[in-house]
Amino acid sequence: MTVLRLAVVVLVAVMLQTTLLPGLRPFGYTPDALVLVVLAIALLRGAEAGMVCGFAAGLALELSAQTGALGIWALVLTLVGFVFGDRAEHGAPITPQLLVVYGVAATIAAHVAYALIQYVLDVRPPVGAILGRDVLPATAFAVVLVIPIHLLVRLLLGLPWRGGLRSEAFVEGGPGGVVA
Amino acid sequence: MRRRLILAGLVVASIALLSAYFREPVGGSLHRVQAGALEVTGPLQAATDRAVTPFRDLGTWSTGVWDARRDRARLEAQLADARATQAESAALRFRNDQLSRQLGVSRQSYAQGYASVAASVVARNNDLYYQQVTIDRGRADGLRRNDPVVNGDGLVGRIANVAAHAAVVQLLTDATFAVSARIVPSGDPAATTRARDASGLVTPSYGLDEQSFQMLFVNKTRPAAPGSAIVTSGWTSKSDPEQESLYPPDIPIGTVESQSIPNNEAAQRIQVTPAVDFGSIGDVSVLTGGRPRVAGDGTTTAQGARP
Repeated sequence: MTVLRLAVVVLVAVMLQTTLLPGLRPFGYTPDALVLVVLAIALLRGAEAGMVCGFAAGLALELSAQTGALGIWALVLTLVGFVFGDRAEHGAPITPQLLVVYGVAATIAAHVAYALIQYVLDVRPPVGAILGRDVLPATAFAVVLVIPIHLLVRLLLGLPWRGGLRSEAFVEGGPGGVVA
Repeated sequence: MRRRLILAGLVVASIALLSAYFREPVGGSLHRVQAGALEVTGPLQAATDRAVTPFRDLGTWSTGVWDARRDRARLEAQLADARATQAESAALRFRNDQLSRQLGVSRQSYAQGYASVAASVVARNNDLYYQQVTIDRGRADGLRRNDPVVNGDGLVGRIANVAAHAAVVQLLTDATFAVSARIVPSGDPAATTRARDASGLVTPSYGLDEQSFQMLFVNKTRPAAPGSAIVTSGWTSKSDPEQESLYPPDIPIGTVESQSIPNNEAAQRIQVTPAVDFGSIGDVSVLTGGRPRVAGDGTTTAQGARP
């Protein structure tokens, strides 16, 4: 049941990322909700779920949006899922303020990593364009969207509301106390 | 331990995918898998796109009237119904306008001899690295790789990948896109002498504005006044058909915004204002099939026939 819910969350996120969000383009930029969805899954369900969902979401994005080479977003989102899932399992606190910090950190790390891989692959836009058109807009949207997306993912995964923003399993289980 | 094994497996899988993708030719197995995925995701995206269209229209409308709405907070509750109706009708007017202009595409001179296949955009990817959209027409509708894609304003891009019922359009704004073009001083392609027109290569230029273009390799003795129209040149070649342009001549690309001649260079650099608003592409026409046309040297070639 949990796996099915995770699959639905990832699928819906990828579809919205490739249809609704590029169409809306608030202020002329497309929000990157997928990183925040993977972050939410990692924080709520731990490193295993985070990295597997990150890999699946990245690959699905690359297949559905046909964004050139396969494997780049899959790699980047796998790492995002692992790093933040691991932190959550080791008892990292999750407050609204820290959630915003995590969202910003995950978004910046993901987009900078993506730019670096593109650089290695000889796709080299100027640093100003990377910052002005990619990293900074995505980061600004992350500040606004990370909490709503976290709450929405939590709702879709059917997690109880005890334990504040954290998954109850981590509150009670500590390191290794993964999926309830 | 188990987590680390999973992590290692996923990282290795990602890198293996990436490496294999770059090593294989365009028609390789991973490219075919990617094109095949379009068969599954294309209809799914089309359905999602239809489902989210009201939200997107509402969002587009909301952004446009944000400033005006600031002073109307007191009346917002009373006007909610009227605004919803207004949003819907504005979206319908916009779509009606787009479709009307689409109908005009098939009457354009550059479209003569081509079959014009109307298509709707069902997914967009407009990040810094890849500028492309997915449309709801594919091989079953006669589309082929490299077919030109236009709308009522001008050249939109080319078919980059095609599945049975969906296709990916690489937009003119994509960093790897380039199209040979000429400047038409009078603004009317039919009224000018082709040999005296300035010609060059239009490519997107990286910058904060994603709709910024430049025209390179333009002989500095040729006229390039601001406001002059820029259209596809549609090169033909008797000696090497592979060098022919993929696009028919005279598709509008944009207008000359400004020009400069860098020191010690024989060519002008021209900033181009695009004819197409790439931020709001909804409906496009794919020119497919090609037509025989006469090259400058009198030979006949089948334009659009090659992949």
